[in-house]
Amino acid sequence: MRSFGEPELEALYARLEKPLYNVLYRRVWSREEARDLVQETFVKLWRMRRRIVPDTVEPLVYKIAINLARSRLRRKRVLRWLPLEPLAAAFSDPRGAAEPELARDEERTRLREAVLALPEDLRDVVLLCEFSGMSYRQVAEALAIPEGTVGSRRNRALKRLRKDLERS
Amino acid sequence: MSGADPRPLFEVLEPPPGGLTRLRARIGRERRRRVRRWSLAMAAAALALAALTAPLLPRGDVGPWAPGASDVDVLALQVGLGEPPAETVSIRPDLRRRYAVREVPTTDERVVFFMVGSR
Repeated sequence: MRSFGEPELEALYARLEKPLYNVLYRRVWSREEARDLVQETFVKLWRMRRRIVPDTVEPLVYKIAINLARSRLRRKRVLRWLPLEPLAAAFSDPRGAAEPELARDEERTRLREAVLALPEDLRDVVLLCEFSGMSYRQVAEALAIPEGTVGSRRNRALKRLRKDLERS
Repeated sequence: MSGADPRPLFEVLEPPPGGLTRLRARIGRERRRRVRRWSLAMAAAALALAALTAPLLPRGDVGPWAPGASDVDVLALQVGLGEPPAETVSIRPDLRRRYAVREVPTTDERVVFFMVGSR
């Protein structure tokens, strides 16, 4: 088995930071929390580095990340009613924060609401398929579901998103 | 909105800069924490081992009847050329059950030998 040390971890981080951040952001809807979760994912991966098979590490990274996001959301739900963040803060890109992109913000808000309305199992599939660049087999591995289910859930999720967006 | 296809709306966001640096720092902290935990665990294990084995170790005082080789030249005593030790040979009461002592007759009355056996 090939070893998984710090250079491998850093290379993996460089490759997965962006897609992972995007998936996590659509789970927690907070840039800061998504950033923290990306970090936590890799620290957790570092802790279990001796048991890692480098060939299957990618689905594992997403599996860890999604589990962390789920437990964070669960904790939040237990602690308090989670108010939606001010939309400007949630969606604004720091580089272009001053730009008044009202129409764009509206679209983002609608999409966010549509994504939030999806059941968790559909949401995870569609986010992983959209951002991770993994194959259906890898997505199935990350979510511990059969490979055939990935395709069907993705289609269902996209259909629901389209329908919700048309309605709004 | 461009049609109702949700895919174009999933714009790809850039993660905040400095992620790798933060990760390196966190892993460094993690390593130091592990080393500290290991050191503490090893120290605790060593203490526990010492506490467990200390009662099993033999005590230093094996009895006043056993002078060391440096104190008495046994060979000289046996041939009657040395001075016998001034101490009286005695067995500690708590050791009496465990050791058998028998006097061995010698040709020199100044020389006293004891056979000591343990049970």
